[in-house]
Amino acid sequence: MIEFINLSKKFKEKYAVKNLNLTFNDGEISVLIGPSGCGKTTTLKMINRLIEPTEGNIKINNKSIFDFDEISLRRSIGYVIQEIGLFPHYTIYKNISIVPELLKWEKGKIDKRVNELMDLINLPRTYLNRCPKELSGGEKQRIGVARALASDPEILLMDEPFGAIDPINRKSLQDFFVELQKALKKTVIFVTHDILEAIKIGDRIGIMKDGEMIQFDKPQEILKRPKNKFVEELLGVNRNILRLTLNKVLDFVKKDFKIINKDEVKEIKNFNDSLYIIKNENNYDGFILKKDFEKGRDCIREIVFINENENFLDTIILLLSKGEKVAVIKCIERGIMGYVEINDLIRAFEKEEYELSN
Amino acid sequence: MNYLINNFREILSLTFIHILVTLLSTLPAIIFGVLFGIIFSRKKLISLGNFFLNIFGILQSIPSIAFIAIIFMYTGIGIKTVIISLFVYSIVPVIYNTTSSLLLIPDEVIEAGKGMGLNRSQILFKIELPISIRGILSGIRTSLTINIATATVATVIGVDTLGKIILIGLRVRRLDMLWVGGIIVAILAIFVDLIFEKIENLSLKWA
Repeated sequence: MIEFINLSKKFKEKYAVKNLNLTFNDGEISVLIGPSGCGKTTTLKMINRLIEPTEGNIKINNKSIFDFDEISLRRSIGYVIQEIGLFPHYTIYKNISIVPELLKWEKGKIDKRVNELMDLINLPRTYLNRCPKELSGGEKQRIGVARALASDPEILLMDEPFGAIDPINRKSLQDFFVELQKALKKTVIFVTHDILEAIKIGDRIGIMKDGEMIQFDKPQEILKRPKNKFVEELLGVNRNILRLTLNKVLDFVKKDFKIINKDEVKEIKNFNDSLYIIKNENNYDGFILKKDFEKGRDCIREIVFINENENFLDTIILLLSKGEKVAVIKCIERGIMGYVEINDLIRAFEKEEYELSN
Repeated sequence: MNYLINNFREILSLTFIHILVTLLSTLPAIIFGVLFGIIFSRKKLISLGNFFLNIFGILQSIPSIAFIAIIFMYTGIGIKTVIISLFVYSIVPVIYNTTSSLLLIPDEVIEAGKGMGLNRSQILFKIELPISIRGILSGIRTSLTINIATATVATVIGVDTLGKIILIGLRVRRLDMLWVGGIIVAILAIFVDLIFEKIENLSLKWA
């Protein structure tokens, strides 16, 4: 747990960070966001004392950061910056092993840990002898994360880590990081200026302006109830649409479906389930809706597959673009988990809107 | 060719003195040059560093013979003058290259090092110097090559280097002496250059 107590930082006479009192929960990603100059990076860097606070205190697990020697404090906290922060003259192996090396781990233990980390970030071990410049931006950024995780710190500080990456690779890095965090449950403080990134990865978002914390809350709450005009503007006109990205379709999955073989289609007399998925050897040919069948239409439709983590917005867009009303949730490990109907999603959203306006 | 064979002993000893003068002036220039180069590249001294880099840039454009003449006015005839002027003249590229290649390192790299818990000397020796080694080496290379050539001028102020052959050759209009003197100096310079090319290539991998 990281606690800020009346934390302030002055540069000359001007406050860069003003009187923060916050608690960051263990195992959560807390995102700090705001316009440039709002103090988010200064705040982050005070945690590992790259910047010394002027007033107040920071406590990590109830121990003040001033009770640590600053070098050993930094070695105990993972630190990730943009991919350019890799050491160009070190191989990937040496880059990752730098903190264990400083902590004087044995060679065998370092070897084991480095290999473990390469598996964790899903890059081949053959990369270990390469230099950073031989890797792509996205790969370098993964190495940056691995390097910060090397000594298995409880806390990770991330300063706009994906800021320099192109949008497509950025999205996949975000997905990668969210997945990683599910397994690792680190306490992460993450600075970004990208509100979409904040909403996507944050368990909590802290919105800062002029060194002050304007609102610190769960993304849903911030989107539903922005505290003031500034927050509303930061979230943008798409605020309500963004909220759709936070709702998971899995909450609205329906399970009254049946998988049948192609030759069984003609034999169906009575529909007990609402949806029949037609299987053809290893593939799925299409599906039949009970409603369609009862109305006597020619009713085998193409299946729109989505994965189990899909959110409302992407699902609705996908369905609208395909002209379908039903999406089937297919999970790589567990196969077909059920289906969702576009109407349910829209209704749920309307209901939420209605509750908010009253 | 006859000249070379007949005067082999003298030429050999002049070459030896030539190398000695070059090393005596360049080695301290390398040591102090790298040291000052590091100091000028420190964050807090950056404006001072820039100031000196500009001054050195101008100094470097003064012809070496003029430079030696100026130093001569202060310290007079003798090896002292030669060493001092070669030192001052050759320290310039070392400082210049050291500082500018240290300043070229992205802040993020240094900051990553700090954030990961490297202390000041670890950042300097594990991160900064290895990354900028190529630039530093090329400064040293330049300064050595310059000094090998400039050491010929030492003869003018009374220290007999290979410049003696050239100077006498010029006075008595002996083309063969001019060739011998010029070629030996050139061979020395090329030799140093080749060695440094090899060393620099070793560090090319990450650049």
